[in-house]
Amino acid sequence: MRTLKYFGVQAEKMVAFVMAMGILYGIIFGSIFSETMQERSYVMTNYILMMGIIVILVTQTTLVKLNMPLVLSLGCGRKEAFWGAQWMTALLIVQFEFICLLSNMLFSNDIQEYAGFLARILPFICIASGVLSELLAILLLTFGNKGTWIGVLCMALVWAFIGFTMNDRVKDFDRSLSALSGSFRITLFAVLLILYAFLAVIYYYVWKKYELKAF
Amino acid sequence: MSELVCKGICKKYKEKEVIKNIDLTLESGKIYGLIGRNGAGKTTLLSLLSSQNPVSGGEITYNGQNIWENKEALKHICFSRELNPTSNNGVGTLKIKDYLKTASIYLPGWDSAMAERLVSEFELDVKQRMGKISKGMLSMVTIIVALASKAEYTFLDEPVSGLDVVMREYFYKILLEEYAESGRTFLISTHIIEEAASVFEEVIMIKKGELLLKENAEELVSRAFHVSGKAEEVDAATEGLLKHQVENHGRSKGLTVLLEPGQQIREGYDIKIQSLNLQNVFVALCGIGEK
Amino acid sequence: MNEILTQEKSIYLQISEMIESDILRDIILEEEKVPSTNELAKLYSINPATAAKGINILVDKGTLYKKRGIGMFVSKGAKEEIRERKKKEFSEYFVKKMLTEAKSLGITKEELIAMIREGNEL
Repeated sequence: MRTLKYFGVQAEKMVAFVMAMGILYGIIFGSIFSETMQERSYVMTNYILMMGIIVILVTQTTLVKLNMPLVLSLGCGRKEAFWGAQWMTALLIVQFEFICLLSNMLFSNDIQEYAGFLARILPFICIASGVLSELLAILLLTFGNKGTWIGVLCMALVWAFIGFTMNDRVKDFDRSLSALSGSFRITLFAVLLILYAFLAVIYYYVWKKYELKAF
Repeated sequence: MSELVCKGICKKYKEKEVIKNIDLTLESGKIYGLIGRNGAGKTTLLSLLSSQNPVSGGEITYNGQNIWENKEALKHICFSRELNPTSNNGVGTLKIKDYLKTASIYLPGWDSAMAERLVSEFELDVKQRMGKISKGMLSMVTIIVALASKAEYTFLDEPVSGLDVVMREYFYKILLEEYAESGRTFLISTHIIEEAASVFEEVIMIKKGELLLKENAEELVSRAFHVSGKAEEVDAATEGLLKHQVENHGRSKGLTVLLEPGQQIREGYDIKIQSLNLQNVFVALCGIGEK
Repeated sequence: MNEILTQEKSIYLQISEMIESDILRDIILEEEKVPSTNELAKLYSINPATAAKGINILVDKGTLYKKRGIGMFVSKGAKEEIRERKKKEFSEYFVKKMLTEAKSLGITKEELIAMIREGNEL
């Protein structure tokens, strides 16, 4: 189906881009800061994941600003465009989650322990990024550009807050994280998925009212 | 014979009514000219007719089926919009070839051979980004999309803006060639009226969101006259007729009349009667001071 | 057939008059084919429907007839018929106009006849 093809291609383009940047980063900086090949690969993978999370975060707003109006102007219906956007986000989330898992499996425990909490948090951050992406798109559609900037500002503030307060207590946080049971993690994941679906519904309603104007 | 029919459609943005209660039937196989002043609602009407924006009231049907979110109907319609990308916003970053590629994915009848031929005839460099090319080149891109779409109903919004006169005449030529070969329906909005007038079979005139008239272009022009001479003579000759753009200069008077069936200018008065062209008629009906 | 279209008269009328004038001048002979609707449309960058209208006027007048699947042809006797018709129209159009204009200028009939005599030999 044409929309699967179009949005799928957009998704794979982003993945390829992130992979390429990650490998580049790994080669340049990895050789400076890391000693073993394994360390270098680990740094590279983490960079790919970081970039991937950011890409997921901005996906929906980029789509609303560019791809969705574009395909709408070429005769794609609103419903079809909506599912295209979801398909692309889903593809991105799934692929980066997969890389997360791969990272957990491939890299030895001593590397993991140093920055182990990353391995534990990243899968959730990935999906949370998708949720926030949806939220930003809704803000964009409802309030225009101002809405997105406010949303981004809020997120930046929250992130900075976490960064400041968490600085010393990373190890404690990590310990409490690992202490969490598997079932808690599954519940958290499920909650995030439900949150995503919920926002998707709101997004759909707001998107349906979108007025295509000159671009 | 298919039909695209609008029944009592209206469109509101916030509280402003941009399209007011329009009834319109587009029969297939004709070239229509859509004319109206800036802000009259031409682009809005085209976006409604192509189901790109929802109507606030009324309904638009293709062969009886409502076109809103109707994939089947949308296969037969293509609206090639006027493009105004800046280098910064989304579409401006797209390369011409990417835009055409997306068009080929979403327009079912896409004729890539035709698109390629037109690209070379227009001498376009498809590797350039849409935000960096001239207005004229943007118009060429919209023309390529419209023609290569091979859609049964194809709408063009100001396709010649930015084109020099040589390219404009070339456009009319290739449009007529495509029309002669395929019999597709074209609805073209333009500000350059007189040039395009001979290309239109029918004219649709929009004024302040309302449909002023939809008529065969030649018939419309044949019932419009400019009457001039001594004021008393002109008034007597045009008594009872609807007058437009009345001008007084000293003892002389000039005005435009549009004759309804059965009406005529009274004979025997010392006046000059001149035929008008489509542009004159448009200005007479939609000019400054006209209600 | 190499004239340019003007803006003063309906295009379809110009098309039919152009064909009539070509027939009078032996540019198109009787029983010969006239350009098709599409050819005319292409030649003058006009809508085919307009070209068709111009042709149909001549078909209605009997000047042209249709050979199915081939095109429009000039009827036998069309040249004479056009000449006769245009002679009648001459009186209605040119003479009437001349008389009206002369009246508004205050030119008498005698002065008018004198002008015609002085005019170039036909």
